[in-house]
Amino acid sequence: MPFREKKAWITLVTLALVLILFLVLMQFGAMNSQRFAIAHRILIAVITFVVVEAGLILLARQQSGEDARFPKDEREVLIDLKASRVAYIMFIVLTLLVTLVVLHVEGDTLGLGLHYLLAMVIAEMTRAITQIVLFRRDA
Amino acid sequence: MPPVPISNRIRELRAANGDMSQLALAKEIGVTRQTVNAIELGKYSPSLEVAFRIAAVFELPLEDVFQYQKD
Repeated sequence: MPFREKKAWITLVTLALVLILFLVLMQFGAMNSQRFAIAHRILIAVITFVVVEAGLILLARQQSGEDARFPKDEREVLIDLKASRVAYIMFIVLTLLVTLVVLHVEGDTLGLGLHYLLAMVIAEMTRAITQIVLFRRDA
Repeated sequence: MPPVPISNRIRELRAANGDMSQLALAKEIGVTRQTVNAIELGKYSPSLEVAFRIAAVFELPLEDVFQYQKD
C-alpha cells in the first residue's frame, strides 16, 4: 500500500476511534456536566487525535521507506484536490442540515456547537474515504 | 467515469529497455510508481510535462509513446 493511502487510512481510523471515544464519554454523563468539562473533553479529543495521528504517520513513514520521502506527484495532488472538494460539499450539506434542524427544533448553543463539530469530523472522514477510493480506483 | 482516449506503449518500451521497472521509470520522471502504473493502465492521463519526460527517457517523440484515439 502506498504511503499516501496509508496516511488516509490512519486519519480515517484515528478520527473514527476518537469520535467513538468522545461519544461514549458524552453518553456516560458528560452531557450533564458543566460546559467547561465538555470543552475540556473536546480539547482532549483534539489533542489525542493529533498526537495519535502524528505517531502513526511517523511509524508508517518509517515502514514505507523511499515511498514516504518522495514528494507528492501531480496525480496525488489531483486526488487531494478531488477529495477536498467532496469533503467541502459534505461539510456545507451537513452545516446547512444542522442549521435547518436547529431552526425547527429549539436547540441550545451547546447542541449546535457539538453538531457543527460533528459535521467537521464527518467532512474530514469523507476526505480520507474519498482519497482511499481514488487511490484504489486509479492505482 | 469515461475511459481515457489516450493509449500508450510504456509497458512495451520498458520491456524493450532492459526490462526497466516501473519504479526506475518513476524515479527518472519524478512521480511515484503508482502513478506510472496508473498511466500504463490508462487510468490516468499525465500532464504534458510528464508525458514529454516519459518520451525523453525512451528517447522517442511523444507520438511514439502516446496515441490519441478519436472515438
